Amino acid sequence: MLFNSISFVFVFLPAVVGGYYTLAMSPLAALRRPFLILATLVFYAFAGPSFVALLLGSVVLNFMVAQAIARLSDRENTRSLIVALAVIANLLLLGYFKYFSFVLEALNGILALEFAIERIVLPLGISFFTFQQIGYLVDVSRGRVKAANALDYASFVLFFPQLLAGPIVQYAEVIEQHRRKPAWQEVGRNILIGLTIFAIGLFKKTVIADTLALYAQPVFSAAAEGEPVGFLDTWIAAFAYTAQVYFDFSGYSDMAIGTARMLGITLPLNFLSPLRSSSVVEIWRRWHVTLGRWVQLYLFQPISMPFARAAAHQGLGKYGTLGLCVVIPTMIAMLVVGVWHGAGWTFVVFGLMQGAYMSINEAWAAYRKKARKARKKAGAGPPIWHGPLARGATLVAFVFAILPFGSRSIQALSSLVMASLGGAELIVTPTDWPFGVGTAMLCVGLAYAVIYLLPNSHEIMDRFEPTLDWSRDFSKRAPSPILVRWEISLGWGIATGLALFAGIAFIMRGSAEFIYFNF
Amino acid sequence: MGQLEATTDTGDVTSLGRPWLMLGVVGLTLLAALGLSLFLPHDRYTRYQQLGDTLHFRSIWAYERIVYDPAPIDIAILGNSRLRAGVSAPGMQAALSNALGREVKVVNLSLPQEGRDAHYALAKVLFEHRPEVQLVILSAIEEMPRQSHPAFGNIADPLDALFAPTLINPSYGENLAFTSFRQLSLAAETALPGAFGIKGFDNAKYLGTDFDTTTSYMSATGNFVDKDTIYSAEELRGPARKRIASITKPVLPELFAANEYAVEYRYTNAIAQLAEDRGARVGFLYLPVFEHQAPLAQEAFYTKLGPVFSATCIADRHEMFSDYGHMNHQGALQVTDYFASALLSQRDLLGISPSRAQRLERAPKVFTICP
Repeated sequence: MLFNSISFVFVFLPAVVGGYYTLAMSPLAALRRPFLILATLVFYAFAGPSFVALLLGSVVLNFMVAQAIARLSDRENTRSLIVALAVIANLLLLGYFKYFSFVLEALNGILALEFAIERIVLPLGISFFTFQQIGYLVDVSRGRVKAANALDYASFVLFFPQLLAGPIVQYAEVIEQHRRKPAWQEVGRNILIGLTIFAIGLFKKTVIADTLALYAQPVFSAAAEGEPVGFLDTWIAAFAYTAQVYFDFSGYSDMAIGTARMLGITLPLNFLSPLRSSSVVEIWRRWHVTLGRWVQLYLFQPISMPFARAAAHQGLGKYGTLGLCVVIPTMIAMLVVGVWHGAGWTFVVFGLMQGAYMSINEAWAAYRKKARKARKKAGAGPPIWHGPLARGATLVAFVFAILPFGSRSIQALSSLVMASLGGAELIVTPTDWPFGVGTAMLCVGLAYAVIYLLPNSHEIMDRFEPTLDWSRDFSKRAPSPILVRWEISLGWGIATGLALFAGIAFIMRGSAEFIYFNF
Repeated sequence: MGQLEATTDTGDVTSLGRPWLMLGVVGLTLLAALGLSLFLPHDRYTRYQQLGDTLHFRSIWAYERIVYDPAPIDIAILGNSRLRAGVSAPGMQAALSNALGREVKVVNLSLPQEGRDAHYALAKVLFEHRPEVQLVILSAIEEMPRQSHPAFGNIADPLDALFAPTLINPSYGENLAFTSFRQLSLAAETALPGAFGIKGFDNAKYLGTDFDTTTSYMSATGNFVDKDTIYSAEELRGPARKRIASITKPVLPELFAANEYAVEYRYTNAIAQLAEDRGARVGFLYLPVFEHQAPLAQEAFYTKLGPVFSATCIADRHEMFSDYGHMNHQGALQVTDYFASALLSQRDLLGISPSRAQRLERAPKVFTICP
């Protein structure tokens, strides 16, 4: 079941929220959490009934492994071995569904083998619930959290608002919220705040992202089919697709956060206006925040630690240390992030490009460190042109790297890259672009005006702590030039209703699936 | 923006009632916007043009034939794809005109897929523009369909989408939500037709008064739909059995048939009422699935409204079928001849309509169309 479906908005969501609070306020309050778990299984069954058993199997096995790890607290080696085996098992499961066909295809291509390749259907959300559970196992083994009981663990994983595409939550940050019985006084407030965040997200997805898709997809499709693409249309499509993915994922994240909030659970921040960043490193701190945090905690740090020790041991210089401790782990981490988004050479290229950007970014920062310090010491800020130039360069670099992300093959990618570098006609306007190139530019321009000028959904909901640690860690991080704050008022009630109406009406345009559901 | 009540600087909600009041405002706004969208004005022809790249692309011709073509319409065939493929309007027109010694104009306005609500939407347009219509032939299939037609949301008048059956109509919500979007979109397209590439009726592109729906054609997506190949019984048997196996028998007791088949009941009755109000009559044509001789399961419902013409006698004739349940062109020509003869044997259907009371008294029956 999709968040952007009529059956979810008008049937499933009201039934679950109503049922949850009815149970919570009755003598059967203890059943409210099993009810949510059951609702999650129903939700998942709508997406793919054949994979419910797989999901349950994954949850049960990881739960049992965590119990075993907890019992072995005094036997570190055995515990580490079990964690390693469990992580490998999780990755093998993910790998089979996500990468098996790709690996066979690659082997066939490279070694001229003839493996039969069958299309393997990817269970929805597998990347997300696998990563979330791996994180939990590592946290238990490191003693960060105690092993959960069955109900707590099931509540942690089988929570439909974040099951299919995140946010990837940590056990410690949500479990107390699941355990706490909701107070009657909070119910209306949580439903209202959640519904408002959901409405903003739905609007972003169905009205903005799906409109941008009309301009992005024809060009990427043309390239995939070997048709000519022009310089201008490639760049318009690249900017449109970047904004489409941006609003698609931020819209999805808002809907997940809003749905959870309706049930009294505040989820962590997942998206913080990343395109307002002035470096690619910063983009990745603000784009899919919970995945970035996961990669940092469970991938980058474990990889970079031994390298750091080796660098110290070898007495490497500034740039040698940078290379060993930052560049190599970054390239590996971003390669993983790239292929996490999809099995294909284009995603490998995407990951490597992002890794290269970040490495250059880090190297430049290291190179300019002295100059920066000196300027700071002299009390001078960066030159006035620095911020806009950095943001502009970051945006163009990121948009260029979206070409592999949206391309369906290396051939399509090379055609788009050639066109974007000027090796094509100036413009080959796709016939199915609604209203032609002028409107395409206008739509894309409007989307970027929204991105750069208007507040994001969390800023709009700033007064109501929309995500975990919002006021403490995030509220001042990415201020928008235009400040708009939602409040309890007639005008905002009407505005919310209108956003919800537009979001719902535009579902019926024939909304596409969320891009992140493919990952 | 105006405050509901004074709030604190943080906008925090301390009063129990305020969030619920605010939720009420959000809900009312949503309902008001949904309601207002239903009244957005637009051109009905633009509405039909939305189907141009779908399975229902020929409904544009149907609309043009009814609204823009001055040629009269005496008999309208209005049903599912089986009727669309199975009755040649020009063939029937020729047979009836020859037999009656006067010109009888027949059109086949049928759409692919099941769902009586879409037939109702077209019937409304038909009776609104064509007072001369004498007879409407509707489709009937072995087990009554339950579903709303996939094109209903596209072509329905907004209030028809709003007041559609809500009980046991899984498409109700989707149709209504779609209607809201459609209204916004159509209002914009009607206001700025040039910007959206919307064109008025173009006689040069019109398929003509006597368009035959039973011949081979190119679909909207560019696929060739072959209506000339003759298939063997073996080739047809598998898909036909699969189709029959997919039929769901009535789930509820007969007492609740009007609920279980809410869409079919509501709109078949509504079409019959429209016809009666304008002095026309309705009849039903049942074209079977290959090798499936079963009679109509809900025959009694249909015979209360008009005669049922059954073609189960052709079920075994593989040379007439182009797939599990649709006639090929030659099969359609034969069915058309049979059906024209059957209609001629019921001449009151083709002449002045008797009143509803007289019609009920005469208790129309089921007729087999085969000679």
